[in-house]
Amino acid sequence: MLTASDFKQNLNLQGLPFNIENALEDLPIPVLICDNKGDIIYFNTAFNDVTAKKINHGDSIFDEEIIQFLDTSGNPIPANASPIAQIILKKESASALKVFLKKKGDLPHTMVTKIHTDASKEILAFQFSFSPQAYSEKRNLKRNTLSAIVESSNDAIISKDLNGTITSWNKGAEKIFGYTEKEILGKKVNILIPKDRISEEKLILKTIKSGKSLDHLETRRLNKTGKEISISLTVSPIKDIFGNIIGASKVARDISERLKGDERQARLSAIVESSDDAIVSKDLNGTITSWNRGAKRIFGYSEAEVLGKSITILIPKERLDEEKHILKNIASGKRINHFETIRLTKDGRSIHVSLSVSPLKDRKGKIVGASKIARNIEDQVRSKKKIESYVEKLRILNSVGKDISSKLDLENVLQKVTDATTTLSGAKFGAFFYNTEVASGESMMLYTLSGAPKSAFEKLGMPRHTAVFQPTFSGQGVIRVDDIKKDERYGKNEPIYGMPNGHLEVTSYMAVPVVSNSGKVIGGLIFGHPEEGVFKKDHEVMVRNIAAQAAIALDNSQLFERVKTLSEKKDEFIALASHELKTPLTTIKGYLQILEKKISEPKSRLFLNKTLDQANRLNTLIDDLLNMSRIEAGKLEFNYEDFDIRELLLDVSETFNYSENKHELITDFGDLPVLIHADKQRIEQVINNLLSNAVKYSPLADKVYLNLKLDQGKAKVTVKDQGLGLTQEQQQKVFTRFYRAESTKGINGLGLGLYLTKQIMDAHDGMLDVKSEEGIGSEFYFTLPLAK
Amino acid sequence: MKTIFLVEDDHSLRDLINFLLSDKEYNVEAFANANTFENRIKNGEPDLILMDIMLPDGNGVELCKALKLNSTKGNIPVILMSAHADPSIADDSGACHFIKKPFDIDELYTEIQKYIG
Repeated sequence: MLTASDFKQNLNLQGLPFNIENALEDLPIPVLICDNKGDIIYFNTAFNDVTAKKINHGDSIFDEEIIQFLDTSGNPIPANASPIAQIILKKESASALKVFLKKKGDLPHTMVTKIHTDASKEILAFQFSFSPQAYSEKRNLKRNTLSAIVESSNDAIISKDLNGTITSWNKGAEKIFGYTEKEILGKKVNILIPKDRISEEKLILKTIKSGKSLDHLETRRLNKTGKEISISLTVSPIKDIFGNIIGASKVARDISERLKGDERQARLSAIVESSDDAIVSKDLNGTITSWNRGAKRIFGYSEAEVLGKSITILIPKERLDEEKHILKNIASGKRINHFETIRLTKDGRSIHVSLSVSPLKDRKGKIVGASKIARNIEDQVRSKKKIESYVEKLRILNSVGKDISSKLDLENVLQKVTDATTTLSGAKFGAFFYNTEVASGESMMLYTLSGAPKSAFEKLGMPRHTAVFQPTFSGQGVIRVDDIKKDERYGKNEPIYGMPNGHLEVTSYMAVPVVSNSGKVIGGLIFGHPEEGVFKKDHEVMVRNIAAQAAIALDNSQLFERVKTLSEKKDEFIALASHELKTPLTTIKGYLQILEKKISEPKSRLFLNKTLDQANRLNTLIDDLLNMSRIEAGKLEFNYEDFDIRELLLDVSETFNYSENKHELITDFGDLPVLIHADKQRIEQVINNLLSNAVKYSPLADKVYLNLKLDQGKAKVTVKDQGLGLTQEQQQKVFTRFYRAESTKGINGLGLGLYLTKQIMDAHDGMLDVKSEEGIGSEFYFTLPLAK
Repeated sequence: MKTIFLVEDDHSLRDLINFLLSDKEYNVEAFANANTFENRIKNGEPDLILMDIMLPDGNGVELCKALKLNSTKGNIPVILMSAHADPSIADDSGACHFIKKPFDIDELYTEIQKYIG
């Protein structure tokens, strides 16, 4: 009989690299070793824990107090009839033999036996693998946990033997590969391996056989549907208690998602890093937790400089409240989109940025911080400002242009020009000086001033021939200097040699001559600013352009003034001439009237009357001329009163009938008075004018019609003749000054009558028009508003 | 016989009016300018004054205004004459009538008769 010490010796003799007894003692798996008669030569503590009887060396394995054998249905059977007896007594070889073992009570246990056959001494080692219930509470729990972990693991935990046959398969494996345990147990692991990776399995087996593990091999496997899946494989050898490698355990993790996630993560990282925008994250206290290259580029700080610092280092003092507001929003889960603000760079510059801030959440959805994307919009803001400034400049230019071309009032135009150029050039003040020759020849006149009160210049002398001013007022060209006091032309004029006391402070200086078309220097626009280098080339160009326009305006204005003076002289002349003409006319008429009373001889009376008629016509012509010139000058005065136009028409027609006339006047004025508010004398003039035209232009007819009626709340007077009539073209021109129709050659007139009539009607808010057909006659009519 | 002071710088017209009025049995004293008229009126008491507005050395409207302020001579009727088309120029003068040149001689008689018969 082999004793325990023999056994130990034997084991030692086998040269195992570890103390087998110690190893077995600590093993949680019950182990029993017996000789070929079934006598126990070794048992470990774990085995002793599961037996009902305290066992000793030499006890038999067939003692039912130690092990109760059961059949496959769980019924007790005699020990010598059990499969284990077959193995031990009949020396049948057995591997992975399943038997049942009963310890206290009737709990079934799985007993996996492994036979170690020594060449000289037959020893059988039994390794009992119990189902969890059989263990003591503590071991039970541990094993339960381990088993539960294996079962509940999302990883596939598989074991296989050295032939590659699958020997165990957990739920995780089922999930990943799709096979159930039942389907796959006993199958070759190769069914999980893509063809192109079969060689990998050989390598794995080789590694395993050499006792090494394979850690985290990322590879691909096939699932039940034949789809390839990415997995991370950890393979470890499974050794028996003697250290022989009997198989391998495989832990396979599905990393498809992780790979996807990794890829995404990598891509996102790359995007974040390569972004031109600053992408920064911070926690809820505002502490910076990440910082990309864009942030470095925009703000100047490196990642190392800012990590762990407060985000407030980027925020201008006066905007610190913004951060509170942002954090408040973030804490309540709100995003902030494209918030335009100002941030500070490392070197203290303020830059315009557009901020988008989003809450950062952990996996559970709790807000733990914020990501900030800051875009440098400095260029945008600058170009926006530039555009705004251009728009403003254009607006000013446009308004100046309009004023220059539309206004003729010199002072007004110059003030506009001075204001606009001062604004556009950014000058502190600007002035237009007018070139005037005073007795001394040493002066220019301040015409308009912008940006400073006129008194700022009034008391100062304005010498024109100093080195500084002379080039401008002689039209030599633009002077633009960054600091006039450093200019060599400055300070050459006695007695002050520089700016007199009380002069506005000037450092930047720009002077642009204003030269008329004829080449005459009208004056100069002068601009000043207390700071240095304010006026740039484009300011100069702009002012020069406006100065050129202003020169045109000044020319126009002067021309206009001259024309106006001429026109006034003409009006004065006409007024004087008409007066002078009327005095002899009065005498002529008077004497003719005296003669008319004294002469009774018919033929002489006829001649006398004709002469009187012509004297009266002459008078009318003089009146027309005078009236026209007054209307042109806007000096024709009207004396408005309420009167009955019907009565006036009756008077006029009576006078018409009274005078010798070959035309019969046919009237229809209605029965009721028609009150209008007008200048009675002028209206009478209008009616007479239309009547005399009707007679004059219908030499072959014998009737003229004069009507009054109410038309749409207005008094309408119509004068109709059966005369020459007017063409469409003539009708359009008939109310213009000095117009006389071609067909009226041989009929006297200046062409002023209808023009004056129209002007009088316009002044009365009335309307004058004509309907006419050539060869049939004309119908002139006017309407006037009724008296209120 | 009623006396009329006539002020008219144009001598042919002055002659005509003088002739007309004398013919109607008025006593006419004619003046060619404001100055001679002003000197004369100081000691004179005409029944009516017929005066041109545009005089070489004065303005009929102003002369009339001044006369109306005089306590003794303010009541003398004044008729102003002018070739000016707008009679409103005489509005504030205090004149009793305005005659536009050229006038009808009958109109002149009629107006004068209105005031001094």
